[in-house]
Amino acid sequence: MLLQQLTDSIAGLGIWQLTAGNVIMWVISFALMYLAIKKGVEPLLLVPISFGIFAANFPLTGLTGEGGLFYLFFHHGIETELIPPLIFLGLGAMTDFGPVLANPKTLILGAAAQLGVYAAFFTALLFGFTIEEAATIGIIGGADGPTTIYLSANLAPHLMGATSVAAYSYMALVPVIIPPVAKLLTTKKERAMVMTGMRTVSKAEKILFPILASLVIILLVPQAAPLMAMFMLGNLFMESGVVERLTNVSRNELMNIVTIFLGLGVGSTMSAENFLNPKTIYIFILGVVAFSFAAAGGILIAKLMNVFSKNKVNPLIGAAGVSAVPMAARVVHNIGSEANPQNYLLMHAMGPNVAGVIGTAVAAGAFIMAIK
Amino acid sequence: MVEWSKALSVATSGIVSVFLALGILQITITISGYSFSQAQKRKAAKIKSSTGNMIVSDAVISTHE
Repeated sequence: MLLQQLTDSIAGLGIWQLTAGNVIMWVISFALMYLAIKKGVEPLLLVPISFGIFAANFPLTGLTGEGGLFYLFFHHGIETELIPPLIFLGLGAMTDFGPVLANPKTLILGAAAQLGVYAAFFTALLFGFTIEEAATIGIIGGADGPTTIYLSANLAPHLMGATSVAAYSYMALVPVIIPPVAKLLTTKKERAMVMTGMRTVSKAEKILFPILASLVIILLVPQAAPLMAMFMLGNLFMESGVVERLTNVSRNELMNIVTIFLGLGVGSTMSAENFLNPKTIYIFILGVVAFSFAAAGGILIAKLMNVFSKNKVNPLIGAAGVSAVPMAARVVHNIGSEANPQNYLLMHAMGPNVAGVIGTAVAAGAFIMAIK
Repeated sequence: MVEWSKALSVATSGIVSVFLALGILQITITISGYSFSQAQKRKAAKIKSSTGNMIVSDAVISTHE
């Protein structure tokens, strides 16, 4: 009897159920932890995601099974599409739309960068992905993690792990991906172009913007409402200046709490059987395609705008249309000042940069509208 | 088998939606920005003229004194 119990206990140990797939996923999780902790690659997201992958790949835990702890994070937070809009609330409470208001045509550059989304969409179809999967992969080009997760939850939940890790990893690789594309598509003279100072934007304009943006975008693309409404509410909190407590809680405490749930929820979807397949490799390749075409789209449309416009823009700022705020704008600024040390493009590049966040949310809404 | 016609319509409607939404938003904020700057200019001109009148009246008072 005792011997039988002992044998059963030993047979029930998790270690016997460990598969090679679990071990490979651990190695991947350690690699992501290394990137996040040692190299500072999107640590706020990659630390919980990587630990989520690590914990989800222990056998017999029931963490990711129905009713398990990670399942609850995933099901209630992500599958119900609750967390990405809450992240957008926090992002809104951190975003200054002043550069967009000072130079509204940067909105078109934010739209232009979404061309990368559609380039990756078609490339993914050529790789044999379904339309739903291709849309989820394409949105990686928007360089916006919460939007990628939101669209994935809507159209292809089985790809969420790979697409979100690709989106967050490539956001950190913006300084590697943008410069060669920007240098290939612009001349030194264009990169050296100095842009004139921006006009001062009044407080009233900043308060009015979230209301106008909500009106225009949600009326045109209602499926973008969960992201846009929360983004603009967060921005209204900040710009109104009368709800400091709500502004602070949106961009600090709430954002931090939901980030933990988001990271663990996403990580928990990355089981060996879900992640270890050729599709994951294709997704990472397509992520680079998406990012490169997004930067290229922004630059080329900026050049086109210059043909018709009196007030010319430095075409480099188009590349900042890939969201990744504010890293893309910083990278663009650095390329500009490399060509001309007198060139200060940072604030000009912030316009397309924040416009890109809106553009990606609209693109995600448009995909849901057309596909679902 | 990819339904290319559906894919094309998804992409076309997406691109149109993105450019339309951000294009209309651009026009809207250009107009509102223009209105705000005009209102500010009018306000500044009004302040300037009233300050000018005060200076003139001060000068008149000091001349009489």
